[in-house]
Formats: sequence, C-alpha cells, structure tokens
Amino acid sequence: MPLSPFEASFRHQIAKDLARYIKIQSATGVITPRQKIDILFFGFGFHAILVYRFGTWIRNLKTKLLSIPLKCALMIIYSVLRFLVRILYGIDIDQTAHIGEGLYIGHFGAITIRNCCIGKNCSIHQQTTIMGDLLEEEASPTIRIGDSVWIGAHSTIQGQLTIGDGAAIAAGAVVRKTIPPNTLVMGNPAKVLLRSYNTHALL
Amino acid sequence: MFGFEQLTYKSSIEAQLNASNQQSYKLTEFFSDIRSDSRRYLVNTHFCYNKFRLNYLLLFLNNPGLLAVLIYRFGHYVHCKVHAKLGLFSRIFLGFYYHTARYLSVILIKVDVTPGSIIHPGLFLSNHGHIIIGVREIGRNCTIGENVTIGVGRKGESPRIGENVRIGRNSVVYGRIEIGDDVRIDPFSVVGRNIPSHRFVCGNPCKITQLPGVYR
Repeated sequence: MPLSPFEASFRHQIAKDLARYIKIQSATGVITPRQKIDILFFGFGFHAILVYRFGTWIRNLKTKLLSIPLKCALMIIYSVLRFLVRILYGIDIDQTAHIGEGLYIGHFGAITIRNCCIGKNCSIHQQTTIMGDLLEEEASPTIRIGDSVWIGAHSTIQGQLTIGDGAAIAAGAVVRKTIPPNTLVMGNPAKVLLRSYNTHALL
Repeated sequence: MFGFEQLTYKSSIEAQLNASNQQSYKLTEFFSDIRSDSRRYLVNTHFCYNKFRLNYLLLFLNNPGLLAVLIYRFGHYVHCKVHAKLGLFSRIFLGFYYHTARYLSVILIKVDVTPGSIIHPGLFLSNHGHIIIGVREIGRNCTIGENVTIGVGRKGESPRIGENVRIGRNSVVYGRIEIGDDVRIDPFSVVGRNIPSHRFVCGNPCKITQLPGVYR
C-alpha cells in the first residue's frame, strides 16, 4: 500500500510517467520521432499528469517569508492550467488525490479523481470516476489503490474501500467494496470473476 | 471466454492497426464516403432537402458529429498516403493539417477516431461528446451515440462490427470480438464477446436476446 508517494522527486516522477507512455507505444522502449510527437501532442492524459505533478510540487515547496509572492504566482499559473485541462480534455485530478509514480491515462474525457491514494504504475482509462467519501474526522483519503492496478473505461469506484496490488477492474464495473489483490472484477455491481489474475500483460 | 485469456502481445495498438491497413484509399472514395455520410445525416435529422447546395454547408455547421467524421476520413486518407510512401510533401504537410484538425476535434467536438481504423460509408454519430473509436472495421450505415467507447480491451485487440448496427449511449465495446449485422446494443451496456447478427444486446455484463425480425 502506498503510504508516502512523495518520496520521489518531481523530475523522477515525470520521467517514470513518460517511461510508461513510451513502453505502451513500443514494448522495446525505443520509439520513432513520429510516435514521440504523438505522445507530446496527443497524450492528453500526459498533459493532465504534468499539471497535477506541478501542483504537488508547488504544494510541497518549503516557503520562507520572502518567497510567498512567488508561490502565489505559481499557484495562479497552476490554477489556470488546471482549468484549461478540465475545459479542453475533461480530466479533473484534484490535489486531494495522492498518486504514485508511473501513472498512465490513455484518453481524454470525463475523468474525476478525488480523495484517494493511488500506488505506482497504475493505468486509468476514460470516463472513470474515483471519488472517496469525505470524512470530517479523518483528513486521510478513504480510497486506497495498490500498485500496478488496471482500471478500465466507464468504471466508477466510490465509497470507503481498498483495492489490492495487481487487481484489474474491467470496463463498466461499479466498485463499492474492497477487492483482494490479483483479482479480475467486472459487472454492475462488481463481482470477482478470476482469482490469481496477473495484470502484467495489460499494463 | 471473456476475452481475458493470459496472453502476451508484444505489438502495440497502432502497430496492429497499421498492419491491417496497407490498402489504398483514393480521393474519389473520400468524397463519395463523405457524400453518403451527409446523406445519412439529411435523412436522420430531417434537415430541409432541396437542390440548394448551401444546405450541405449548413449541415456540416449544424452537426458537429459530421465534422468529426469528415476529419476522420481526411485522417484515413493521410494515413494511407503515408503508408504508401508517396512523398515527403504529403507526409509533412498533410500530416500537419490532419494533426491540427484532430486536436481541434478533440477539444471542441470531443470525438477521437484513430486514423488506422476502417469505417465504411454511412456513419452517423447521433450526438457529439466523448466518443473514442479504435476498431478494425465498421460496416455500412452504423449509428453511434454519445459517451461511447469502441476500442481495445488489451493491447492490440480491437473489435470488428457489421452493417446497420446501433450502439446506444454510454456503452462500451471492447476486445477482439466480432459483431454481426443488424445488432442493436442498448444504452449503458458493456459488450466483451462475440455476437451473431440480428440480436438485441443489453446489460452489464451483456446478455443477448433474439429479435423476432430484422431490426433497422
């Protein structure tokens, strides 16, 4: 379970995210210039991830008294960028979400991620909502998602739950209960289809 | 059984789509396809139909889905040109125009169709917004609603869809499957397995109910 995803630096996290995108374009890790252009201009999810990482970097800055105006300016730039991403691509990643390195968002459109803690090397597809319940007693996020979890398109994850490492959530699944690691889940409401499932081929 | 067998595919999505499309796509075909698409829109939207040619322009302005289909057809033309290796000019300039058009279609119309997929004439997007399509083949006279994802379940596995298929809004069609002719897929359904022709599909995960006659 990811307890402190901010151990790695900003640049390291971005490099890991880009490595995921390159790995999905080609398994060998070597891409042509045309594919590189595809990632940089049409990786809409990558743009959203960049803006989210920028926001976390600003939030974790250690400010002195003189550098407060600089931080305010950066926050204004961040809020404008986040607004643009939300309007143009429809991807809304809130700062209440704690996301580990190596996230992959495939397409644009209707993605909301709030009040959750996501591990390393996860992939999230279009039209998903990951919304944890707001508890006033606890400031910590109520949804915890493990490492290398594959979340399919049009799926919703809501409530207070934990998803184990290496679980796969099929397209259109509605998840409201805890899921053990290495399982395949599908349907509305979500039922366990396969125990001992490996997401290595999906990621 | 469900399209979730434990297999490893080295090739990516785009590579597999590229391998299936080495055929030529002429400019005359492009215009005839666009004409049949716009005719489909004329019938379905009850737009005033006469010999006045400006009406076709108004049709493109009133139906953003038709504009997205136009951008896809242009993209497919460019894609086939690039793979035929006809010249550096077509590669750079047509590619530049297509990429700007695709970016505008994503941020304004919210429709993204991969240029490698083959879509036969008569595609009707009933409403624009969050439509993502990456397929091997779609037959003639299909209708697709809003918030629909037709694409890959795993790496390099995409569906093939027959003629006269209706796909309702908010539904997902994924995996290496084949859907027959005259199939109607209900709204909010998730389809992940093969479906023979003349069927009615609904639910999540999907169930098949046979129709008495041919559905149009």
